[in-house]
Amino acid sequence: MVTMEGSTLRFYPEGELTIYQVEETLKELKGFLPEAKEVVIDFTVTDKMDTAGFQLFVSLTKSTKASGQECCVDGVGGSVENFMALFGYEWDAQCKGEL
Amino acid sequence: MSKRLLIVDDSTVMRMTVSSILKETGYEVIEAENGQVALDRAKATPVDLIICDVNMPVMDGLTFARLIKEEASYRFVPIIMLTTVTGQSEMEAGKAAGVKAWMVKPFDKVKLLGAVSKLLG
Amino acid sequence: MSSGMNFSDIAKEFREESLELLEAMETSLMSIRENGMDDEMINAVFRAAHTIKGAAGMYKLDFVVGFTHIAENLLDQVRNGKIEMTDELGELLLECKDHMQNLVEFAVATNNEEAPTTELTDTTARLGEALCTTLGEEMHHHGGETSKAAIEVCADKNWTMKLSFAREVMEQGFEPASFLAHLRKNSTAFESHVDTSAVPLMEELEPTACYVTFDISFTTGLSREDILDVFEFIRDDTTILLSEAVAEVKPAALAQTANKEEPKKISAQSANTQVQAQNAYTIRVDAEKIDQLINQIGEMVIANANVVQQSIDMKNGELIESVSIVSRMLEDIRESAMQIRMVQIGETFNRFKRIVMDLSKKLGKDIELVIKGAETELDKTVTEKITDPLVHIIRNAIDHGIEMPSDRGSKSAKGTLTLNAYHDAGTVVIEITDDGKGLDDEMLYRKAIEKGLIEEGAHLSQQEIFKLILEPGFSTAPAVTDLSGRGVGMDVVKRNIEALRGNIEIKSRVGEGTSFIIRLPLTLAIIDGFLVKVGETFYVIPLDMVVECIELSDREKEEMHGNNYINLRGTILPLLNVGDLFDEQKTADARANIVVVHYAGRRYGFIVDELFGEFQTVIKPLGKIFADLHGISGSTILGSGKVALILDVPMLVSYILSFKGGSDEMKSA
Repeated sequence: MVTMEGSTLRFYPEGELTIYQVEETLKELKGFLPEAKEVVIDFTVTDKMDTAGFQLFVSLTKSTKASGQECCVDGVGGSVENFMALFGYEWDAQCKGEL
Repeated sequence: MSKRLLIVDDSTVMRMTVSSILKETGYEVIEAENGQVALDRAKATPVDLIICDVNMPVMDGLTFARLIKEEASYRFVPIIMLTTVTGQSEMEAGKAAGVKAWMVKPFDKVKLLGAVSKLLG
Repeated sequence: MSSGMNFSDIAKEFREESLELLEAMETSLMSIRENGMDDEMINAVFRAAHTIKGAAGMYKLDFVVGFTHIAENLLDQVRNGKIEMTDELGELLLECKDHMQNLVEFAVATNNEEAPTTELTDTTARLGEALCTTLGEEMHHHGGETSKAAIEVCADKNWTMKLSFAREVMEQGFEPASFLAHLRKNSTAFESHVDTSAVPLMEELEPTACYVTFDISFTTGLSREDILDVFEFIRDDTTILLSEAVAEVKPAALAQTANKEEPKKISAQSANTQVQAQNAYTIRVDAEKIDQLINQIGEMVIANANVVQQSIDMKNGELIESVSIVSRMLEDIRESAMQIRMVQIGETFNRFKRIVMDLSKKLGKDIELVIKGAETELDKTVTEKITDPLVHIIRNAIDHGIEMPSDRGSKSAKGTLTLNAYHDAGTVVIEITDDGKGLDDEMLYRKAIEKGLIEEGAHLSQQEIFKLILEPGFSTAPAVTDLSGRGVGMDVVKRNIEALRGNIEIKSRVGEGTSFIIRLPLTLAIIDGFLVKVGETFYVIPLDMVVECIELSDREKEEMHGNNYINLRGTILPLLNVGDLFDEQKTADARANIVVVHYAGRRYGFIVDELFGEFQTVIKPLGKIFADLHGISGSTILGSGKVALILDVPMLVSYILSFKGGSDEMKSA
C-alpha cells in the first residue's frame, strides 16, 4: 500500500481505499511522508474508493503541496475514474501524470 | 462458531438473494416470510443479527422490530432494515424501535456485508 | 451484478413469486371494485408492485423496475388517500398488472439478456403516460403540495443542489457517494462538482469525518419530494439547498405550466414551510374536527330549544325576544358549519369528461358530455361516495344506452350525455340523462324472468321494471363487452346510493333515452327521522325509508300471535318486534303500531309502541364501546334532553331475513 523507494513515497492502495482502510493507511502515510521528497500515487490497483478514501487522497495532495513536495498520480483504474467523475473532481493537470 | 442471521422478507427472491450472499460469506441463515413467522422463529432459535423488510403481509417489519426488541434476549441484537421504503416516518419508527441500519433496495452486496460485519462487531 | 447470484439462478422463483403477487393484485383490485376501497386490499396491490420492483431491481431488470416504479408511485398515493380509487383507475391498474406480467415473463424468457420488444416498450410508454396523467390530473383537484410532487414525477426538470453532509455521516454508515450515485441514476443529465476546500492537511485529518461539499446540477423526472427522500435518513443533519432551474415540461404536465414557479431556493428543512405558505388560502382540516363542531352546534341547537320553550312558558317578552335572536344566530352558525363540508359537484363532474371521451372513443361512438349545475353544493363525504355509482351509470349509458352513430336513425349522430345537479327540498338531485335507445320494459321483464329475478306473471309497474337493471345478476348486454367485462354490475349503484340514504329513479322512453335521477341527502350529518317510542326508549327511523304506519287492531294482534308477519293488502309483511329485540319493558296498554319501511326493494314492518312523527335531527355517532351493538347506527338528543337511538334499518332487515330463513317466501303472496 505505502512504500518508500529512496526519497519517493509510493502510494498504491490495492483493492479498496474506503472507510475501512483509511485509518490504517493514514497512519502509514503520516509515518513516511516527512521523509519523502516526492509522492507517486497509483490508483490502477484500486477497485473501490469511497468518500473517506477520496478525502485521504485530497488531504495527501494538499499536504504535499503545503510542504513543497512533488506529488503526481501515476495511473487511475476504471473504478476510481468513475468515482472521480461522479464527484466531478478536477484533476490537477500536472499531477495526474500520463493517463 | 459462525454467526446466525435471520432474514425476514415476503419475497422469496429477495430472501434467496440475501441468504446466498450471506451464506457465501460463511454465515448461517434462517428465513421468515413475514414478521409473525420471524417472531416465532427468533424466539425458538437465537440469532445474532436480523435483516428485515418493512412492507410485508400479516406483520410488517417495523412491528416485528418493535416486538422482538421487547424480548430480553434480543435487546442487543442488531436489526438492519433492508427495504425500498424511504419515508421519514418509517425510518423514525425504525430508529425508535431500535433498528441499527436502514439499507435501501436494490442494495449493494459489499455494503450489506460491510454493515453486517460491522454490526456483528 | 451486485448480488451473489445471477438472474438465471433465481428466474424461476422470480417468475413464480411475481405471478403470485400479480394474481393477488388482480384479486384485490377486483375486490375494491366490487366492495369499495379497503385498506388491506389496496395495501396488497401496492405490495405487489413494491415487491416486484424490489426483486427486479436486485437483478437489474430495468424495464420492469422503470414501469413498476410509476405504478408503485401512483398506488402509494392511492394508498395514502391522495388519489381517489375510481373504477376507471382500477381498470388502468388492471391493465398495468397485465403489462407487468408480460414484462416479467419476457425478462424470464430471455434471461434478461434482451432488450424488451417494441410492443412492450410501446405499452410501457402508453400505460406510463396514463399513470402519470392520473397522478397529475387527480392531483389537480386537490391542489397543494401533492399536486407539485405528482406532476414532477412526470416532467423532467433541471435542478441545482448544494449539498453538505454532517461531519459524522460516514461514521453513521452512510456513504455520500451513494447518494450522488442514486441521484445520477435517476437523472437524465448529471453534473457534480466536489468542493474539497474543507479537507484539512493530513496532520488534522480525521479520516472518517466528512469534509467535502457538492454543487450538483441535474435533470430528472423525480419530484422535489423524491429528491429529498433520497436523503431522508440523514436529512436532519444534512444541509441541502435544492432549487429548480428552467423547466422542461413534457405534455403530460402541460396543463400545470400556468402556475409554474420562479426558480427559487429551498432548503430541505424549510420545504414543508414553503408548501404551507403556498396553501395560505385554504386550510386542510381533519374532517373529524368539522364533524365535532357540527355535532356540538347540533347539541346547542337542541339545548336552545329548551331555553326557547322555557322563555315562552315564563311569558317574559324581553327574554323571548333575546332568546329568539340567539336562536337565529345559532341557526346561522349551524348553516355556516355545514357549509364547511360542502363542495361543488362540478369537480366530480369534470372528472367524468375523460371517462366519456375514452370510452366513447374505444367503442367508436360520438358522445358529447353536457354538464349543468356544476356549482351545486353537497357534503364532501357524499361527493366522495357518489362518484363510483355515477361512473357506473355513465359507463352503462355509454356502453348500452347510446347507440353507434349509424344506428341513431333520425337523431343526431352525435349522442348527448347530460349530467345535471340541483337542490330540491333539502336534497340534492343528480340526473344522468342520455339520448340513447331507452329501456325496453318488455325486454327487461322477460329477461328478469329468465334470470329468475321475478316470477312469471308478477305484476310490476314500469318504474319497478326499470329498476330491475339495478338488481344483482341482471345484465342487459347480450355479450359482455370490454367495458363491463370485469363483472361489476349496476347493483353496486343501488347499494351505494342506499348506503347514502338516497334513492334512485329511472325514467326512460324507447328510442328517446334514459334518465337516472338520484336523490341524496345534502349531508350525512343530519337525518330526517321518524320518532317512535318503544317501552321507555325513543327510537328514530330514517324517514326516507318509512313508507307508512299502520295501527294494529286487537283482532290483527290476535291473528299474528306467534307469527312474525302480517298480511298487508295481500302481501306478506315480515315483522320485527323492536321491543323484543332490545328487551324493552312492555307497557300493557300500549297500542301496537307498525312502521312499514322500504329497503332494498322490499317492505318490512317494525312493531313499536308509540308514533311521534317526523323531525330533523343531528346524528351523533355511538361511542366505541357500543361498536358491538347491532341494529343501532347512532343516537341523537331530543329537545327534552332525552337520548333517542337511530335504528340501523339495513342491519335490522338482515336480522329479519336471518330468522326468516331466507328471503324467498316474502317476494309476493
